[in-house]
Amino acid sequence: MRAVGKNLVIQKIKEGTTATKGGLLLAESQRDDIRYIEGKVLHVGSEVVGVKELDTIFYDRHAGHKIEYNKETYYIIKLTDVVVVL
Amino acid sequence: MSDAIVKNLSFGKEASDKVFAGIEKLAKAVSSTLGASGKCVLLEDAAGRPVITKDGVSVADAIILLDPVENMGATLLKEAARKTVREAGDGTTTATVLAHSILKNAYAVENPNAREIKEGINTGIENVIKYLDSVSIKVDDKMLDQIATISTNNDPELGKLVGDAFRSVGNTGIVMMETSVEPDCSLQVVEGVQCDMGLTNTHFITNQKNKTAELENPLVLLVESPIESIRQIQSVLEFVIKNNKALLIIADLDQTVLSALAMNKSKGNIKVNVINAPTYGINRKEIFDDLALLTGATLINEDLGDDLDLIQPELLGSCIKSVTNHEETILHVGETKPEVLEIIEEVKKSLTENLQSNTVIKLEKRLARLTAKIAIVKVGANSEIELKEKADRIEDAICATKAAIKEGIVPGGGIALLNASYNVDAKTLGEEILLDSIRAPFNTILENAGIDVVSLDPVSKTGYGLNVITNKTVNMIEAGIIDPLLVTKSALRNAGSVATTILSTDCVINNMRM
Repeated sequence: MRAVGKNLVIQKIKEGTTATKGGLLLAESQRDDIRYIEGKVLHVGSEVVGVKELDTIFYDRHAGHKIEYNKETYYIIKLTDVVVVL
Repeated sequence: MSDAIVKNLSFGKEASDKVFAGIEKLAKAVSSTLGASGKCVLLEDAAGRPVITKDGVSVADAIILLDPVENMGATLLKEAARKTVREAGDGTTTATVLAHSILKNAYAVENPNAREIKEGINTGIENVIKYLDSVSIKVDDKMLDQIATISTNNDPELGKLVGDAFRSVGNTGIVMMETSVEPDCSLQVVEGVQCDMGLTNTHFITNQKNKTAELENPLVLLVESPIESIRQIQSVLEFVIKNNKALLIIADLDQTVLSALAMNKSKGNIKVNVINAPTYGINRKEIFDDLALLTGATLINEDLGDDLDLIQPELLGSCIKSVTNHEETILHVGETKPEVLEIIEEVKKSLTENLQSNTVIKLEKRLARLTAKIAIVKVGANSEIELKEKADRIEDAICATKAAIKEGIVPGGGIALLNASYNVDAKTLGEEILLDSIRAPFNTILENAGIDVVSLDPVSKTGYGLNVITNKTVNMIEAGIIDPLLVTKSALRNAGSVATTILSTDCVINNMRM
Protein backbone atom coordinates (compact mmCIF):
# COMPACT_ATOMS: atom_id res chain seq x y z
CA MET A 1 0.00 0.00 0.00
CA ARG A 2 1.39 3.37 -1.04
CA ALA A 3 -0.32 6.75 -0.73
CA VAL A 4 -0.60 8.88 -3.89
CA GLY A 5 0.10 12.63 -4.29
CA LYS A 6 -0.71 14.71 -1.24
CA ASN A 7 -2.62 11.95 0.55
CA LEU A 8 -1.55 10.31 3.79
CA VAL A 9 -2.58 6.96 5.24
CA ILE A 10 -2.98 7.29 8.99
CA GLN A 11 -4.31 5.40 11.94
CA LYS A 12 -6.42 7.12 14.59
CA ILE A 13 -5.03 6.94 18.07
CA LYS A 14 -7.94 5.98 20.32
CA GLU A 15 -7.54 7.13 23.85
CA GLY A 16 -10.88 6.11 25.25
CA THR A 17 -11.94 7.73 28.48
CA THR A 18 -9.33 10.00 29.94
CA ALA A 19 -9.13 12.21 32.93
CA THR A 20 -8.48 15.90 32.70
CA LYS A 21 -5.71 17.43 34.74
CA GLY A 22 -8.28 18.33 37.34
CA GLY A 23 -9.46 14.73 37.51
CA LEU A 24 -12.66 14.93 35.51
CA LEU A 25 -13.27 11.85 33.40
CA LEU A 26 -14.26 12.49 29.82
CA ALA A 27 -15.16 9.90 27.24
CA GLU A 28 -14.00 10.19 23.63
CA SER A 29 -17.36 11.56 22.50
CA GLN A 30 -17.40 14.14 25.28
CA ARG A 31 -14.21 15.66 23.99
CA ASP A 32 -15.54 16.38 20.52
CA ASP A 33 -15.26 20.10 21.11
CA ILE A 34 -11.53 19.62 20.51
CA ARG A 35 -11.14 19.95 16.74
CA TYR A 36 -7.65 18.46 16.19
CA ILE A 37 -7.00 14.89 17.25
CA GLU A 38 -3.98 12.62 17.27
CA GLY A 39 -3.08 10.15 14.54
CA LYS A 40 -0.13 8.02 13.46
CA VAL A 41 1.19 8.34 9.91
CA LEU A 42 1.63 5.00 8.13
CA HIS A 43 2.33 6.08 4.55
CA VAL A 44 2.84 9.42 2.85
CA GLY A 45 2.30 10.32 -0.81
CA SER A 46 5.14 11.40 -3.05
CA GLU A 47 4.15 15.09 -2.90
CA VAL A 48 3.92 15.22 0.90
CA VAL A 49 6.50 17.44 2.56
CA GLY A 50 7.14 17.98 6.26
CA VAL A 51 5.51 14.74 7.43
CA LYS A 52 7.15 11.38 7.29
CA GLU A 53 6.10 7.83 8.04
CA LEU A 54 5.58 6.88 11.73
CA ASP A 55 5.19 10.55 12.72
CA THR A 56 2.51 11.34 15.28
CA ILE A 57 0.38 14.20 14.06
CA PHE A 58 -2.61 16.33 14.98
CA TYR A 59 -5.18 16.53 12.23
CA ASP A 60 -8.73 17.80 11.69
CA ARG A 61 -11.20 15.35 13.27
CA HIS A 62 -13.72 15.97 10.53
CA ALA A 63 -11.27 15.33 7.71
CA GLY A 64 -10.64 12.19 5.69
CA HIS A 65 -12.43 8.95 5.04
CA LYS A 66 -11.96 5.34 5.94
CA ILE A 67 -10.53 2.60 3.78
CA GLU A 68 -10.35 -1.07 4.52
CA TYR A 69 -7.24 -3.00 3.54
CA ASN A 70 -6.37 -6.53 4.66
CA LYS A 71 -9.32 -6.39 7.07
CA GLU A 72 -7.84 -3.34 8.79
CA THR A 73 -9.36 0.14 8.63
CA TYR A 74 -7.20 3.18 7.99
CA TYR A 75 -7.93 6.83 7.36
CA ILE A 76 -6.91 8.77 4.28
CA ILE A 77 -6.41 12.48 4.86
CA LYS A 78 -4.90 15.28 2.81
CA LEU A 79 -1.70 17.06 3.74
CA THR A 80 -3.69 20.29 4.35
CA ASP A 81 -5.62 18.57 7.16
CA VAL A 82 -2.44 18.03 9.14
CA VAL A 83 -1.65 20.89 11.49
CA VAL A 84 1.03 19.71 13.90
CA VAL A 85 3.75 17.09 13.86
CA LEU A 86 4.86 15.97 17.28
CA MET B 1 -84.11 28.54 13.93
CA SER B 2 -82.97 25.00 13.33
CA ASP B 3 -80.17 25.01 15.90
CA ALA B 4 -82.12 26.81 18.58
CA ILE B 5 -82.75 24.67 21.64
CA VAL B 6 -86.37 24.29 22.57
CA LYS B 7 -87.04 25.37 26.13
CA ASN B 8 -89.46 24.12 28.70
CA LEU B 9 -90.93 26.54 31.20
CA SER B 10 -92.28 25.78 34.65
CA PHE B 11 -93.77 28.31 37.03
CA GLY B 12 -94.70 28.82 40.66
CA LYS B 13 -95.30 25.81 42.80
CA GLU B 14 -94.66 23.34 40.03
CA ALA B 15 -91.21 24.86 39.44
CA SER B 16 -90.21 25.16 43.06
CA ASP B 17 -91.46 21.65 43.86
CA LYS B 18 -89.22 20.19 41.21
CA VAL B 19 -86.19 22.25 42.14
CA PHE B 20 -86.74 21.26 45.76
CA ALA B 21 -87.12 17.60 44.80
CA GLY B 22 -83.65 17.74 43.27
CA ILE B 23 -82.25 19.42 46.37
CA GLU B 24 -83.90 16.87 48.59
CA LYS B 25 -82.37 13.98 46.66
CA LEU B 26 -78.91 15.47 46.83
CA ALA B 27 -79.25 16.43 50.49
CA LYS B 28 -80.45 12.96 51.40
CA ALA B 29 -77.46 11.31 49.76
CA VAL B 30 -74.93 13.73 51.18
CA SER B 31 -76.42 13.99 54.67
CA SER B 32 -76.07 10.27 55.28
CA THR B 33 -72.33 10.85 55.64
CA LEU B 34 -72.67 13.51 58.35
CA GLY B 35 -71.44 12.96 61.86
CA ALA B 36 -69.51 10.35 63.76
CA SER B 37 -71.99 7.67 62.80
CA GLY B 38 -72.24 8.85 59.21
CA LYS B 39 -72.34 6.17 56.59
CA CYS B 40 -70.20 5.62 53.56
CA VAL B 41 -71.60 6.06 50.08
CA LEU B 42 -70.75 3.60 47.34
CA LEU B 43 -70.73 5.26 43.97
CA GLU B 44 -69.77 4.45 40.43
CA ASP B 45 -67.29 6.81 38.83
CA ALA B 46 -67.31 7.93 35.20
CA ALA B 47 -65.31 4.88 34.17
CA GLY B 48 -67.73 2.53 35.95
CA ARG B 49 -65.38 1.74 38.82
CA PRO B 50 -66.84 1.62 42.33
CA VAL B 51 -65.68 4.28 44.79
CA ILE B 52 -66.44 4.27 48.51
CA THR B 53 -66.43 7.65 50.15
CA LYS B 54 -67.48 9.52 53.23
CA ASP B 55 -66.54 12.82 51.72
CA GLY B 56 -69.49 15.07 51.01
CA VAL B 57 -67.97 16.70 47.93
CA SER B 58 -67.28 13.40 46.22
CA VAL B 59 -70.84 12.29 46.84
CA ALA B 60 -72.29 15.57 45.62
CA ASP B 61 -70.08 15.58 42.55
CA ALA B 62 -71.26 12.13 41.58
CA ILE B 63 -74.90 13.16 41.46
CA ILE B 64 -76.46 14.17 38.17
CA LEU B 65 -80.22 13.87 38.05
CA LEU B 66 -82.24 12.83 35.03
CA ASP B 67 -84.94 15.47 35.37
CA PRO B 68 -83.43 18.74 34.13
CA VAL B 69 -85.23 20.98 36.63
CA GLU B 70 -84.40 18.73 39.56
CA ASN B 71 -80.84 18.67 38.31
CA MET B 72 -80.71 22.46 38.33
CA GLY B 73 -81.71 22.46 41.98
CA ALA B 74 -79.08 19.87 42.81
CA THR B 75 -76.44 21.78 40.86
CA LEU B 76 -77.17 25.02 42.70
CA LEU B 77 -76.76 23.22 45.98
CA LYS B 78 -73.52 21.64 44.84
CA GLU B 79 -72.26 25.12 44.04
CA ALA B 80 -72.88 26.20 47.65
CA ALA B 81 -71.13 23.08 48.91
CA ARG B 82 -68.14 23.58 46.66
CA LYS B 83 -67.80 27.19 47.64
CA THR B 84 -67.72 26.16 51.28
CA VAL B 85 -64.92 23.73 50.58
CA ARG B 86 -62.98 26.37 48.70
CA GLU B 87 -63.27 28.79 51.60
CA ALA B 88 -62.88 26.47 54.53
CA GLY B 89 -61.70 23.16 53.16
CA ASP B 90 -64.56 21.23 54.67
CA GLY B 91 -68.23 21.56 55.53
CA THR B 92 -69.80 20.37 52.29
CA THR B 93 -72.22 18.18 54.08
CA THR B 94 -73.16 20.81 56.64
CA ALA B 95 -73.77 23.37 53.91
CA THR B 96 -75.93 20.94 51.99
CA VAL B 97 -77.98 19.95 55.00
CA LEU B 98 -78.43 23.58 56.02
CA ALA B 99 -79.53 24.77 52.58
CA HIS B 100 -81.98 21.92 52.32
CA SER B 101 -83.47 22.60 55.71
CA ILE B 102 -83.78 26.35 55.15
CA LEU B 103 -85.67 25.69 51.92
CA LYS B 104 -87.82 23.03 53.50
CA ASN B 105 -88.88 25.32 56.33
CA ALA B 106 -89.38 28.27 54.01
CA TYR B 107 -91.58 26.30 51.62
CA ALA B 108 -93.69 25.12 54.55
CA VAL B 109 -94.83 28.69 55.21
CA GLU B 110 -98.31 29.43 53.95
CA ASN B 111 -98.75 32.50 51.73
CA PRO B 112 -95.12 33.41 51.96
CA ASN B 113 -93.66 36.78 51.19
CA ALA B 114 -90.42 35.72 49.53
CA ARG B 115 -88.71 39.08 49.91
CA GLU B 116 -89.40 39.35 53.62
CA ILE B 117 -88.34 35.79 54.26
CA LYS B 118 -85.18 36.33 52.31
CA GLU B 119 -84.31 39.42 54.30
CA GLY B 120 -85.10 37.64 57.55
CA ILE B 121 -82.85 34.71 56.65
CA ASN B 122 -79.99 37.06 55.82
CA THR B 123 -80.24 39.04 59.04
CA GLY B 124 -80.68 35.76 60.91
CA ILE B 125 -77.44 34.44 59.44
CA GLU B 126 -75.58 37.53 60.53
CA ASN B 127 -76.98 37.19 64.07
CA VAL B 128 -76.02 33.53 64.24
CA ILE B 129 -72.52 34.30 62.98
CA LYS B 130 -72.19 36.99 65.65
CA TYR B 131 -73.22 34.42 68.23
CA LEU B 132 -70.77 31.84 66.87
CA ASP B 133 -67.95 34.40 66.96
CA SER B 134 -68.74 35.09 70.59
CA VAL B 135 -68.63 31.43 71.64
CA SER B 136 -65.63 30.37 69.57
CA ILE B 137 -62.36 29.63 71.31
CA LYS B 138 -58.78 29.79 70.13
CA VAL B 139 -57.00 26.60 69.30
CA ASP B 140 -54.05 25.36 71.29
CA ASP B 141 -51.64 22.63 70.32
CA LYS B 142 -53.44 19.95 72.28
CA MET B 143 -56.68 20.46 70.42
CA LEU B 144 -55.20 19.91 66.98
CA ASP B 145 -55.65 16.16 67.23
CA GLN B 146 -59.33 16.46 68.03
CA ILE B 147 -59.98 18.90 65.23
CA ALA B 148 -58.23 16.70 62.75
CA THR B 149 -59.95 13.61 64.11
CA ILE B 150 -63.41 15.00 63.57
CA SER B 151 -62.63 15.83 59.97
CA THR B 152 -61.23 12.41 59.26
CA ASN B 153 -64.72 11.23 60.23
CA ASN B 154 -63.53 10.15 63.66
CA ASP B 155 -60.43 8.22 62.92
CA PRO B 156 -58.27 9.06 65.97
CA GLU B 157 -55.19 7.52 64.44
CA LEU B 158 -55.28 9.67 61.32
CA GLY B 159 -56.34 12.66 63.42
CA LYS B 160 -53.28 12.28 65.61
CA LEU B 161 -51.11 12.04 62.53
CA VAL B 162 -52.47 15.27 61.09
CA GLY B 163 -52.21 16.92 64.51
CA ASP B 164 -48.59 15.82 64.80
CA ALA B 165 -47.96 17.23 61.38
CA PHE B 166 -49.23 20.67 62.37
CA ARG B 167 -47.42 20.62 65.69
CA SER B 168 -44.15 19.66 64.11
CA VAL B 169 -44.11 22.55 61.67
CA GLY B 170 -45.54 25.25 63.89
CA ASN B 171 -47.71 28.08 62.72
CA THR B 172 -45.71 29.00 59.66
CA GLY B 173 -45.27 25.48 58.40
CA ILE B 174 -47.12 23.88 55.60
CA VAL B 175 -48.74 20.51 55.89
CA MET B 176 -49.09 18.50 52.76
CA MET B 177 -50.49 15.17 51.83
CA GLU B 178 -48.94 12.61 49.62
CA THR B 179 -49.95 9.10 48.71
CA SER B 180 -47.42 6.43 49.41
CA VAL B 181 -47.01 2.84 48.37
CA GLU B 182 -46.58 1.61 51.94
CA PRO B 183 -49.66 0.15 53.60
CA ASP B 184 -49.39 2.46 56.63
CA CYS B 185 -49.77 6.19 57.04
CA SER B 186 -46.77 8.06 58.28
CA LEU B 187 -45.46 11.52 58.87
CA GLN B 188 -42.37 13.04 57.43
CA VAL B 189 -41.09 16.38 58.61
CA VAL B 190 -38.66 18.09 56.36
CA GLU B 191 -36.50 20.88 57.62
CA GLY B 192 -35.91 22.26 54.25
CA VAL B 193 -37.11 23.11 50.85
CA GLN B 194 -39.07 20.83 48.68
CA CYS B 195 -39.08 21.39 44.95
CA ASP B 196 -40.91 19.50 42.26
CA MET B 197 -37.83 18.49 40.38
CA GLY B 198 -36.97 14.82 40.35
CA LEU B 199 -34.19 12.52 39.21
CA THR B 200 -32.71 13.25 35.83
CA ASN B 201 -30.68 10.09 35.48
CA THR B 202 -30.92 6.78 37.31
CA HIS B 203 -27.13 6.62 37.60
CA PHE B 204 -27.26 9.34 40.23
CA ILE B 205 -29.17 7.07 42.61
CA THR B 206 -27.21 6.38 45.78
CA ASN B 207 -29.87 4.71 47.88
CA GLN B 208 -30.94 1.70 45.86
CA LYS B 209 -33.66 0.66 48.29
CA ASN B 210 -35.54 3.94 48.18
CA LYS B 211 -34.37 4.78 44.69
CA THR B 212 -33.18 8.17 45.80
CA ALA B 213 -30.10 10.18 45.05
CA GLU B 214 -28.73 11.50 48.31
CA LEU B 215 -25.85 13.84 48.87
CA GLU B 216 -24.35 14.76 52.23
CA ASN B 217 -23.22 18.38 52.62
CA PRO B 218 -23.31 19.08 48.91
CA LEU B 219 -22.21 22.31 47.33
CA VAL B 220 -24.98 23.75 45.21
CA LEU B 221 -24.52 25.14 41.72
CA LEU B 222 -27.41 27.19 40.40
CA VAL B 223 -27.32 28.00 36.72
CA GLU B 224 -30.18 29.72 34.96
CA SER B 225 -28.88 29.42 31.42
CA PRO B 226 -28.77 26.01 29.77
CA ILE B 227 -25.54 24.05 29.95
CA GLU B 228 -24.75 22.54 26.59
CA SER B 229 -21.27 21.27 27.06
CA ILE B 230 -19.40 19.65 29.91
CA ARG B 231 -16.59 22.13 29.32
CA GLN B 232 -18.80 24.91 30.66
CA ILE B 233 -18.81 23.39 34.11
CA GLN B 234 -15.46 21.64 33.92
CA SER B 235 -13.72 24.00 36.32
CA VAL B 236 -16.46 23.63 38.91
CA LEU B 237 -16.40 19.87 38.60
CA GLU B 238 -12.65 19.74 38.92
CA PHE B 239 -12.80 21.90 42.02
CA VAL B 240 -15.31 19.52 43.57
CA ILE B 241 -13.28 16.45 42.68
CA LYS B 242 -10.09 17.96 44.02
CA ASN B 243 -11.69 18.88 47.34
CA ASN B 244 -13.64 15.64 47.58
CA LYS B 245 -16.98 17.39 47.98
CA ALA B 246 -20.44 16.50 46.74
CA LEU B 247 -22.12 18.73 44.19
CA LEU B 248 -25.77 19.32 43.46
CA ILE B 249 -26.37 21.00 40.14
CA ILE B 250 -29.68 22.74 39.60
CA ALA B 251 -29.75 23.64 35.92
CA ASP B 252 -30.96 22.47 32.55
CA LEU B 253 -28.23 20.20 31.23
CA ASP B 254 -27.84 18.89 27.74
CA GLN B 255 -28.13 15.11 27.47
CA THR B 256 -24.44 14.74 26.64
CA VAL B 257 -23.46 16.71 29.74
CA LEU B 258 -25.74 14.53 31.84
CA SER B 259 -24.22 11.34 30.49
CA ALA B 260 -20.71 12.67 31.08
CA LEU B 261 -21.63 13.34 34.71
CA ALA B 262 -23.34 9.97 35.01
CA MET B 263 -20.17 8.30 33.79
CA ASN B 264 -18.02 10.17 36.31
CA LYS B 265 -20.52 9.35 39.03
CA SER B 266 -20.81 5.66 38.24
CA LYS B 267 -17.02 5.34 38.12
CA GLY B 268 -16.92 6.80 41.61
CA ASN B 269 -14.98 9.80 40.40
CA ILE B 270 -17.36 12.44 41.72
CA LYS B 271 -20.31 12.72 44.08
CA VAL B 272 -22.85 14.58 42.01
CA ASN B 273 -26.55 14.87 41.40
CA VAL B 274 -28.38 16.94 38.85
CA ILE B 275 -31.90 18.25 38.99
CA ASN B 276 -33.57 20.29 36.35
CA ALA B 277 -34.03 23.99 36.70
CA PRO B 278 -37.47 25.10 37.91
CA THR B 279 -40.08 24.88 35.19
CA TYR B 280 -40.56 27.73 32.82
CA GLY B 281 -43.09 30.36 33.71
CA ILE B 282 -43.50 33.41 35.85
CA ASN B 283 -42.39 31.59 38.98
CA ARG B 284 -39.14 30.34 37.52
CA LYS B 285 -37.02 33.28 38.51
CA GLU B 286 -38.67 33.45 41.92
CA ILE B 287 -37.91 29.83 42.68
CA PHE B 288 -34.33 30.33 41.54
CA ASP B 289 -33.97 33.35 43.77
CA ASP B 290 -35.41 31.51 46.74
CA LEU B 291 -33.11 28.56 46.19
CA ALA B 292 -30.19 30.95 45.93
CA LEU B 293 -31.20 32.60 49.19
CA LEU B 294 -31.65 29.35 51.06
CA THR B 295 -28.47 27.68 49.87
CA GLY B 296 -26.38 30.83 49.75
CA ALA B 297 -25.51 30.18 46.13
CA THR B 298 -25.15 32.89 43.52
CA LEU B 299 -27.40 32.38 40.55
CA ILE B 300 -25.31 32.18 37.40
CA ASN B 301 -26.67 33.10 34.02
CA GLU B 302 -24.32 32.93 31.06
CA ASP B 303 -26.86 34.78 28.95
CA LEU B 304 -26.27 37.77 31.20
CA GLY B 305 -22.52 37.65 30.82
CA ASP B 306 -21.50 35.36 33.68
CA ASP B 307 -18.76 32.96 32.70
CA LEU B 308 -18.80 29.52 34.27
CA ASP B 309 -15.10 29.12 33.45
CA LEU B 310 -14.27 31.95 35.80
CA ILE B 311 -16.53 30.75 38.58
CA GLN B 312 -15.13 30.98 42.09
CA PRO B 313 -15.92 28.43 44.80
CA GLU B 314 -17.65 31.10 46.87
CA LEU B 315 -20.37 31.39 44.23
CA LEU B 316 -21.44 27.88 45.12
CA GLY B 317 -24.07 27.43 47.79
CA SER B 318 -24.37 24.58 50.20
CA CYS B 319 -26.90 22.60 52.17
CA ILE B 320 -26.87 19.88 54.78
CA LYS B 321 -28.38 17.18 52.66
CA SER B 322 -30.23 16.72 49.43
CA VAL B 323 -32.59 13.88 48.70
CA THR B 324 -34.00 13.40 45.24
CA ASN B 325 -36.53 10.80 44.27
CA HIS B 326 -38.22 10.34 40.93
CA GLU B 327 -40.51 13.32 41.35
CA GLU B 328 -39.11 15.77 43.84
CA THR B 329 -36.05 17.01 45.61
CA ILE B 330 -35.82 17.95 49.25
CA LEU B 331 -33.01 20.17 50.39
CA HIS B 332 -32.22 20.19 54.08
CA VAL B 333 -30.89 23.59 54.86
CA GLY B 334 -29.40 24.90 58.04
CA GLU B 335 -30.59 27.81 60.11
CA THR B 336 -32.66 30.46 58.41
CA LYS B 337 -30.70 33.56 57.55
CA PRO B 338 -31.94 37.02 58.56
CA GLU B 339 -32.45 38.12 54.94
CA VAL B 340 -34.62 35.08 54.42
CA LEU B 341 -36.66 35.98 57.50
CA GLU B 342 -37.24 39.41 56.01
CA ILE B 343 -38.64 37.96 52.83
CA ILE B 344 -40.77 35.53 54.84
CA GLU B 345 -42.35 38.49 56.63
CA GLU B 346 -43.00 40.17 53.30
CA VAL B 347 -44.69 37.11 51.86
CA LYS B 348 -46.80 36.69 55.00
CA LYS B 349 -47.90 40.29 54.74
CA SER B 350 -49.00 39.95 51.17
CA LEU B 351 -50.77 36.72 52.11
CA THR B 352 -53.01 38.62 54.50
CA GLU B 353 -53.72 41.30 51.92
CA ASN B 354 -54.27 38.99 48.99
CA LEU B 355 -57.44 36.99 48.71
CA GLN B 356 -57.36 35.77 45.13
CA SER B 357 -57.06 32.04 45.32
CA ASN B 358 -54.37 31.58 42.68
CA THR B 359 -52.18 34.27 44.19
CA VAL B 360 -52.70 32.78 47.62
CA ILE B 361 -51.62 29.36 46.39
CA LYS B 362 -48.55 30.91 44.81
CA LEU B 363 -47.68 32.82 47.95
CA GLU B 364 -48.29 29.84 50.20
CA LYS B 365 -45.99 27.77 48.06
CA ARG B 366 -43.34 30.43 48.29
CA LEU B 367 -43.83 30.62 52.03
CA ALA B 368 -43.44 26.89 52.29
CA ARG B 369 -40.24 27.09 50.31
CA LEU B 370 -38.82 29.82 52.48
CA THR B 371 -39.97 28.87 55.96
CA ALA B 372 -38.17 25.68 55.21
CA LYS B 373 -40.31 23.41 57.28
CA ILE B 374 -42.69 21.01 55.72
CA ALA B 375 -44.68 18.19 57.20
CA ILE B 376 -45.74 15.59 54.73
CA VAL B 377 -48.48 13.21 55.70
CA LYS B 378 -47.89 10.08 53.71
CA VAL B 379 -51.10 8.20 53.16
CA GLY B 380 -50.89 4.50 52.72
CA ALA B 381 -53.53 1.85 52.36
CA ASN B 382 -53.93 -1.72 51.29
CA SER B 383 -56.03 -1.06 48.22
CA GLU B 384 -56.52 1.69 45.70
CA ILE B 385 -60.09 2.24 46.87
CA GLU B 386 -59.10 2.50 50.51
CA LEU B 387 -56.27 4.84 49.58
CA LYS B 388 -58.54 7.22 47.73
CA GLU B 389 -61.02 7.23 50.58
CA LYS B 390 -58.33 7.80 53.21
CA ALA B 391 -56.68 10.51 51.15
CA ASP B 392 -60.00 12.37 50.85
CA ARG B 393 -60.46 12.37 54.60
CA ILE B 394 -56.91 13.40 55.38
CA GLU B 395 -57.16 16.22 52.89
CA ASP B 396 -60.34 17.36 54.68
CA ALA B 397 -58.62 17.13 58.03
CA ILE B 398 -55.64 19.16 56.91
CA CYS B 399 -57.92 21.88 55.56
CA ALA B 400 -60.13 21.86 58.64
CA THR B 401 -57.17 22.08 60.99
CA LYS B 402 -55.79 24.96 58.97
CA ALA B 403 -59.18 26.67 59.25
CA ALA B 404 -59.32 26.04 62.99
CA ILE B 405 -55.89 27.54 63.55
CA LYS B 406 -57.06 30.57 61.57
CA GLU B 407 -60.36 31.42 63.31
CA GLY B 408 -60.81 29.14 66.28
CA ILE B 409 -63.32 26.41 67.01
CA VAL B 410 -66.89 25.93 68.19
CA PRO B 411 -68.63 22.91 69.74
CA GLY B 412 -69.11 20.27 67.05
CA GLY B 413 -71.77 17.76 66.25
CA GLY B 414 -74.13 20.56 65.20
CA ILE B 415 -74.27 21.79 68.79
CA ALA B 416 -72.92 25.27 68.05
CA LEU B 417 -75.70 25.92 65.59
CA LEU B 418 -78.22 24.24 67.86
CA ASN B 419 -77.22 26.51 70.75
CA ALA B 420 -77.40 29.48 68.43
CA SER B 421 -80.95 28.60 67.48
CA TYR B 422 -81.99 28.83 71.13
CA ASN B 423 -79.82 31.74 72.16
CA VAL B 424 -80.44 34.09 69.28
CA ASP B 425 -83.78 35.90 69.28
CA ALA B 426 -85.92 35.84 66.19
CA LYS B 427 -87.70 39.06 65.33
CA THR B 428 -89.18 38.18 61.96
CA LEU B 429 -90.60 35.13 60.23
CA GLY B 430 -87.44 34.79 58.12
CA GLU B 431 -85.21 34.76 61.16
CA GLU B 432 -87.46 32.19 62.77
CA ILE B 433 -87.17 29.99 59.69
CA LEU B 434 -83.43 30.26 59.77
CA LEU B 435 -83.15 29.46 63.47
CA ASP B 436 -85.36 26.42 63.01
CA SER B 437 -83.28 25.32 60.07
CA ILE B 438 -79.90 25.45 61.75
CA ARG B 439 -80.94 22.62 64.04
CA ALA B 440 -80.82 20.35 61.00
CA PRO B 441 -77.16 19.32 61.18
CA PHE B 442 -77.64 18.25 64.82
CA ASN B 443 -80.79 16.32 63.95
CA THR B 444 -79.14 14.66 60.98
CA ILE B 445 -76.18 13.53 63.05
CA LEU B 446 -78.50 11.95 65.61
CA GLU B 447 -80.58 10.38 62.86
CA ASN B 448 -77.48 8.86 61.31
CA ALA B 449 -76.64 7.42 64.70
CA GLY B 450 -80.14 6.02 65.00
CA ILE B 451 -81.05 8.15 68.02
CA ASP B 452 -84.49 9.62 68.49
CA VAL B 453 -84.20 13.40 68.34
CA VAL B 454 -87.25 14.12 70.45
CA SER B 455 -86.02 12.16 73.45
CA LEU B 456 -83.26 14.71 74.06
CA ASP B 457 -83.44 18.01 75.77
CA PRO B 458 -80.93 20.06 73.85
CA VAL B 459 -81.75 23.37 75.46
CA SER B 460 -80.45 22.42 78.86
CA LYS B 461 -76.81 23.40 78.67
CA THR B 462 -74.95 25.43 76.14
CA GLY B 463 -71.97 23.61 74.72
CA TYR B 464 -73.20 20.24 75.90
CA GLY B 465 -74.40 17.55 73.55
CA LEU B 466 -74.60 13.89 72.92
CA ASN B 467 -71.54 11.91 71.96
CA VAL B 468 -73.17 9.61 69.42
CA ILE B 469 -70.42 7.03 69.78
CA THR B 470 -70.55 6.59 73.54
CA ASN B 471 -74.16 7.71 73.86
CA LYS B 472 -73.30 10.05 76.75
CA THR B 473 -74.01 13.71 77.22
CA VAL B 474 -70.73 15.54 77.31
CA ASN B 475 -69.19 18.98 77.10
CA MET B 476 -68.51 18.92 73.40
CA ILE B 477 -65.28 20.90 73.39
CA GLU B 478 -63.81 18.99 76.32
CA ALA B 479 -64.79 15.74 74.66
CA GLY B 480 -63.01 16.84 71.53
CA ILE B 481 -66.13 17.11 69.42
CA ILE B 482 -65.47 20.35 67.66
CA ASP B 483 -65.82 22.17 64.38
CA PRO B 484 -63.59 24.90 63.01
CA LEU B 485 -65.49 28.18 63.20
CA LEU B 486 -64.56 29.04 59.64
CA VAL B 487 -66.15 25.85 58.37
CA THR B 488 -69.41 26.41 60.24
CA LYS B 489 -69.54 30.05 59.24
CA SER B 490 -68.96 29.55 55.57
CA ALA B 491 -71.28 26.55 55.42
CA LEU B 492 -74.00 28.74 56.90
CA ARG B 493 -73.32 31.70 54.63
CA ASN B 494 -73.20 29.67 51.45
CA ALA B 495 -76.23 27.61 52.37
CA GLY B 496 -78.15 30.80 53.10
CA SER B 497 -77.06 32.38 49.87
CA VAL B 498 -78.16 29.50 47.67
CA ALA B 499 -81.38 28.96 49.62
CA THR B 500 -82.48 32.59 49.41
CA THR B 501 -81.65 32.70 45.72
CA ILE B 502 -83.81 29.66 45.07
CA LEU B 503 -86.58 31.07 47.27
CA SER B 504 -86.84 34.19 45.18
CA THR B 505 -87.18 32.17 41.99
CA ASP B 506 -90.59 31.70 40.48
CA CYS B 507 -89.93 30.53 36.97
CA VAL B 508 -87.57 27.81 35.75
CA ILE B 509 -86.56 27.47 32.13
CA ASN B 510 -84.77 24.36 31.03
CA ASN B 511 -83.58 22.89 27.75
CA MET B 512 -85.87 20.24 26.33
CA ARG B 513 -84.31 16.77 26.23
CA MET B 514 -85.21 14.91 23.05
